[in-house]
Amino acid sequence: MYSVIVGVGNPILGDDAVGLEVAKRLHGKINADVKFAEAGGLELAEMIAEYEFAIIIDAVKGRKGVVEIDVEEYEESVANHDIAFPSAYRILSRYIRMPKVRVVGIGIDGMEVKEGLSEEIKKLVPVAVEKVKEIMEEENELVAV
Amino acid sequence: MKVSIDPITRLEGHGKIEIFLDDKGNVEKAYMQIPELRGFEMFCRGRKAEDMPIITARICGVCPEAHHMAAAKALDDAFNVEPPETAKLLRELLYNAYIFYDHCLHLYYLGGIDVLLGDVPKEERNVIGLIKKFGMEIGKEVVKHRRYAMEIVKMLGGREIHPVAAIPGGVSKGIGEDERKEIEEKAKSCIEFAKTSLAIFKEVFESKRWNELLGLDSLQTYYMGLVDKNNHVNYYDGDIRIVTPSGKEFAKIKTGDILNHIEEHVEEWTYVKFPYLKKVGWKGFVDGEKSGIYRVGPLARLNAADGMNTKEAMKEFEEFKKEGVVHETFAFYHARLIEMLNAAERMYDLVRHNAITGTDIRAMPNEPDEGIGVVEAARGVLIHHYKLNSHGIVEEANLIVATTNNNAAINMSVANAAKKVIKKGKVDDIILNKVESAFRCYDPCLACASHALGDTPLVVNIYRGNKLYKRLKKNV
Repeated sequence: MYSVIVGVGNPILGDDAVGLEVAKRLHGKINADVKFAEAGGLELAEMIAEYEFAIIIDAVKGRKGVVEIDVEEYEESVANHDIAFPSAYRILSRYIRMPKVRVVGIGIDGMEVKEGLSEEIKKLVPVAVEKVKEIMEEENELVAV
Repeated sequence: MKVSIDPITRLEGHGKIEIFLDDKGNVEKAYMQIPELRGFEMFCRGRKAEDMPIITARICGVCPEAHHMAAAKALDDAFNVEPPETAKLLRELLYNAYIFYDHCLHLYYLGGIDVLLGDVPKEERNVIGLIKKFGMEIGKEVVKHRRYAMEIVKMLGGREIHPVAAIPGGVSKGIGEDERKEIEEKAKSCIEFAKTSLAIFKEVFESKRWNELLGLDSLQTYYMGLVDKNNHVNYYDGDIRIVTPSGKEFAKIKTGDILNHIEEHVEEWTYVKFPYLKKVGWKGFVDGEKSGIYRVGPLARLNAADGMNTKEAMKEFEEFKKEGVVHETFAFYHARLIEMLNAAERMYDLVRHNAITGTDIRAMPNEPDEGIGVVEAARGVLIHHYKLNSHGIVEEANLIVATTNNNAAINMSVANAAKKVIKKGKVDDIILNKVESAFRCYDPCLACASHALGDTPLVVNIYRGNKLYKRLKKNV
């Protein structure tokens, strides 16, 4: 399966960068392209176009730990989005092949202008890495069926 | 009575408009406020100068190329180094691809919906409504050509969305003949798509509804834009030209002198400053020759210039300005379309230049000092100003972004539109959308416009009727 893993976040907004960090850890260790998105909405949707399967990893507010989020409820943490991802995905689906998407969210308390993750969020990085691997295995099994 | 529109939809970042009605239910005043705070200028202090084109590109997920390029140019200036010809051509080529896809975004996904669809219900006020009205084919073309331009940015910039190629004194990456040919093909296709876009919008421009939109707001301001030696629009480089509301040249200055010509007015109700022309002065939120308020962006660029640097766009420019300076705020859309054509044509011209595949792409920097870099972001003049120490470390960074340059005008446009459409307290979703649409003409990027660090000052005003009932303060 032609898959892509996309870490979403802004590397200078503290814990917001956790999605990028998880993607970095997966780079070269998973059977998928790995991309880094410092943007959301339409540009994120354009990045995954024409793949068969995509996993988006992003920081989310109002959640705790590592959780899978319904795509329709996914709101990118990067502040500068133009069109929310679910809308952008629906628009592009009308014209080009869009992948099946699953979203891994990592709960953060907030964003501030700084580099590096907090100690609490650093601990969630390996958990998110395992979650992504788990999802990949599930999807491959489904494909095999 | 107070009416709030929050958050402003279909714009980058979040904003808030507050409208105050008088006893009769008519608009007394209206403001745009930006609650989002970011702290990039302070964050930049102590950084290595060469990191600035990468760091500042993260200010905004929408216009990273503009910050990337303004930073690189500020560093050229700070290190007193002139990039070789090929490097300049590659930077400008990347930059025109960015202008093209950014305008495409605004015209077809964001503000352009106001023009193309008009007063349709909220659920249809999006690109889906656009497809319903204009058919699937145009949607496919939009997606295809935005991707073309983004692929060009990736080829030249070394990365998707956030380019990394511009460095002090040039670029880190050249292109070979295969890439050149691919870009040429894509640029050619973009030209045709830009012409189609103009034709689609021109149908609206001939309608009665367009005249109503033009009538929502008109401001007789000064206009500012980058121009080349022929006074033609250039997004990447040139001198800054400022014209009066009647179109007379007020000043033509080297980009390094820009900060001597503008000052920033501060209002207590917003974190975003209000730049104005120092020589004319701040006279409040009023237009005319005696008020130092100026505008930037597509309409301002065309008003500040004598022409475009490509053939087909020049023809459109002449038609657009046949009666002189254009003041109607909705004319930003027409100007944006002309620029989209210009950017596509310019890509085509640049990629066919003999030196574009050259290998001399970087000149070595000299001793660090102070530098100013100016480019035209899609939404207007963007200024980066850095002071470096002798080790090439940033001691001070100041960024004046396009939306800040337009801040005073945006507030006036919102107030004018609100006064036109809200009468006797009657407010509904379609009326509020019209007020918002005046704001969207500028394609503002609010995330870029507000950058402060430290304890966030917060003032909450609570109104009862028309009077301030209570004020809450934090960190003030």
